[in-house]
Amino acid sequence: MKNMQCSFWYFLMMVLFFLLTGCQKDKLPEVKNSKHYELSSTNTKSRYNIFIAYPENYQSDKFYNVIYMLDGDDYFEEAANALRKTSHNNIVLVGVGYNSKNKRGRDYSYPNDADFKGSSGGAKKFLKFLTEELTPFLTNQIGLQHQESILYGHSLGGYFALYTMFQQSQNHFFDAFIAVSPNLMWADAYLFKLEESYFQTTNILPKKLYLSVGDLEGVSQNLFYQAFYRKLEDREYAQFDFYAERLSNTTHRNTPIRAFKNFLDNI
Amino acid sequence: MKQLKLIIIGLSLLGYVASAQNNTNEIITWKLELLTTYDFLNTSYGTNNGFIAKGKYSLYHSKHFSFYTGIMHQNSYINERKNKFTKHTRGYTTDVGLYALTEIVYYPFRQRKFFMSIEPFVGATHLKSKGSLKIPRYEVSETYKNTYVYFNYGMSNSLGCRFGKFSVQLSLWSSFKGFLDKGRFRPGDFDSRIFAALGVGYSF
Repeated sequence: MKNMQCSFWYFLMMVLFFLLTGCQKDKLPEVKNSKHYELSSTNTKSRYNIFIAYPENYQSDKFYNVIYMLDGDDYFEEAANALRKTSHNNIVLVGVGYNSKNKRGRDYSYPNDADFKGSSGGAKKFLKFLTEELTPFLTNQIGLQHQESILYGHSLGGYFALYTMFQQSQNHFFDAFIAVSPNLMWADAYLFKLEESYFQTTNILPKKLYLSVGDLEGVSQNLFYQAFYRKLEDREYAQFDFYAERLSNTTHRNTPIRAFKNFLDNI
Repeated sequence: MKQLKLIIIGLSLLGYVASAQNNTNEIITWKLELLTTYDFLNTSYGTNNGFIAKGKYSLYHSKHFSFYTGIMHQNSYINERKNKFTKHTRGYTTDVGLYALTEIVYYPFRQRKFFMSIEPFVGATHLKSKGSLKIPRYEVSETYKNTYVYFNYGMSNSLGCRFGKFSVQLSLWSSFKGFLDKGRFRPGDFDSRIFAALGVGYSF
């Protein structure tokens, strides 16, 4: 009887183990030569984790290309380790994550999308946080000197990167954008409208853009990527440095680091 | 939701009718199972449904354990016309798989009525996406088609109850590709699906 009870509980534990394999406790990234800060925003009223990965032989009096990586809680560690394996010693990676509750749905989107559960549409405030709070913090308090500023985003973060590039209501300092698997469907394809407004204003786009999607992300993601890619190609913007690719045999959650590595290989 | 209610009522009735038979300790040789599946992690892509059919042969029975081996066919369909974020897409994503499996069933009680099982499987999955996009106001018209066949493996965990030759069960079907391959940790992604499943079994 005792053996039977033991085996019962052992069996139950095994089943629970497999059921709960996906649950992982949050932890800070373990990256060599990196630092972690916390920063509260008066614009978004949220508190953010700021992770910084420095190249080896980092010198505070030199200028560096700075990649601002959204969803830093998820991607910073993998991206920093991928970056370390390359020969790029002029890049500082800054991961932007959440110290309190994750508010990516609110921060990375504009306008509000009624189809999205939870708050959305706060991209203007988040962009203000990046330009008016985070960058001054990095420059003045950390002493990080920017050469080029690059904004990286995946999924809704990718949407935010493209939104930042085409919106004309706020000033920003980004020179280049990495938009991976962007959710171009957001708010009834609002980015198409935004891009059209930009094109009606000017055909000069002095920015760099890396755009990608995985071929295993389903029909809608791929069709919207294709449509937006074709739109940008057809515009023939002057001074626009554009590189796009569809990653083969790659799903939505496999694109963030593959695309980041490809970006590093192509710059 | 109505469909789910009908399934639950149907299963309950089946269980009630079958419980008239009192042969729960009977040694069985074959087992057939049919389950309806729901991909609860990918609901934003559109409405989804699917099924799993299994045929198993009994290898060993003891007081509390049974071992089976068999084959499994899995089929799921996502209607991307119902994508949560857009009304402009027409299309679908399907994945169809054929797998070999082994199952270890544990009956914690003497009656062999209530059971739990783990069922590792390996096989191949064919993932296909096909559709079109039209947004006239932005002069957008695109089509897309992609197929991908891959080695797939994972495990199904079930809880169930036998009523004579019939059984009802609740399962979690998980591909481990998104846990164990060289890619990122991505349970539930399109090449590493996770389904909740509800179904019936018949042993003979």
